[in-house]
Amino acid sequence: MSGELPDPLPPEWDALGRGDAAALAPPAGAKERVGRRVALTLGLGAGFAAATAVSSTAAAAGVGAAAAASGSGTAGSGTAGLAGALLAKKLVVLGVAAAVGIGGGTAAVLEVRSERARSRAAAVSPQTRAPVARPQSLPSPEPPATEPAPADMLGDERALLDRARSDIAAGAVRDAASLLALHAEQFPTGRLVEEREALVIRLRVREGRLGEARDRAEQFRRQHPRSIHLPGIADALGERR
Amino acid sequence: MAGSESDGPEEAPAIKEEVLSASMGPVSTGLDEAAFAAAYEAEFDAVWLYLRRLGVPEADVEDAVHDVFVVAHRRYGAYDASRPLRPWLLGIGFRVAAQWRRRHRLEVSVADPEPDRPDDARGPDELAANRQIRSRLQAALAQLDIDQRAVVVMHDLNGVPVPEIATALDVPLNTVYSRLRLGRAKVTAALRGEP
Repeated sequence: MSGELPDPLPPEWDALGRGDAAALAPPAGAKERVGRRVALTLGLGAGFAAATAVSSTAAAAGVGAAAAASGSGTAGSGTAGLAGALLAKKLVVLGVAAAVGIGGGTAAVLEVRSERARSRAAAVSPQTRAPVARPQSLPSPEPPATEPAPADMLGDERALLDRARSDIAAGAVRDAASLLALHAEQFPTGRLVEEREALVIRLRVREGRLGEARDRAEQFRRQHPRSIHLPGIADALGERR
Repeated sequence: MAGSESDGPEEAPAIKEEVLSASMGPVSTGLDEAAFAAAYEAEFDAVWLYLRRLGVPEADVEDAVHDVFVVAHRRYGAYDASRPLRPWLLGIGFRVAAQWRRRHRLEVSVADPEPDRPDDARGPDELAANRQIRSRLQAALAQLDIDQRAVVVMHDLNGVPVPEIATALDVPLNTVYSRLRLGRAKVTAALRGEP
């Protein structure tokens, strides 16, 4: 019978466990932050929010209740209030996903998967979070010329493109396409437009749309003849041995 | 000897799909929001700590905890309410952590412990002591594979009985005992400084 109890643990185990628990405990505000995201993902309403995300601070309760009561925003369904609260607090890129109406797997994908990225997202000005039309297609190779993006947006750009790159590598082409489209919407003239276009070319290759990939690559080479992304594009197209 | 060891959580790939599908909008699981909120409130810290002890770094643990509760909400219909909630949640946590490890393809490093938080109110002596404790225990846990680690942490740090672990992880009872025995042996050797 192998159901016998194993050998006992060392005598210091309990003390180690207590110390470890104290060291790894969640930081202040973590429960509320995660609670808001859970509510947004699941489309939970005031019942959940009142008991968790907005229970700890009166200020947060005010934001949540106001947003929920107004039902404003473009997210639709039961997430509107919570999405509004997220937007008001400039928390996560997921809020953008809800605001622009991107549904399905994309919304979860758009959660920026690191504390660093979330911090960067929080630094983005409210204007960049304004509801916009859902991107219907991948960005044009020639984005419209407007003013350059502020420096504090770079982190957001980076987070989106890093995620898109990971998804391309993993074969998650739909998610990658949504991320690149979102980047084009949020940062039409961002600092990383060149990198975005390089990723679109790689995405096209991954999708098996080689003709379009080559056309875009040609255009890319004309526009960016000294780009550091040229070798990667050539590799993706199988042009280098 | 215990039953055969599995290679890992078979359900883990489904976890991401659960989270993704949940993002499609409101869902109905028969779980009212107040009850779910109460469970979240009561179990958040335990889920967080479990994921951290399974090697999910602080930078990613909020995402992982989010995934656990989203999946829990989606799967609540499969939860046997006659059993305690925590082991069930930790079982989901194990799958999320296993998926995180696969996704990042990283083994947990204990050589470079995470820095203390800048807003940490604890004094330098307490911080140093905690750092040492954290380092010792996590170094010992890092000797275990994810299956053993899940069992040892759940049983020996969370106090979950073996039968509940078997149910939560959906593995035979003897497999849990086997993982616990092997895991304890490795942890004990590591704490004693044995190779």
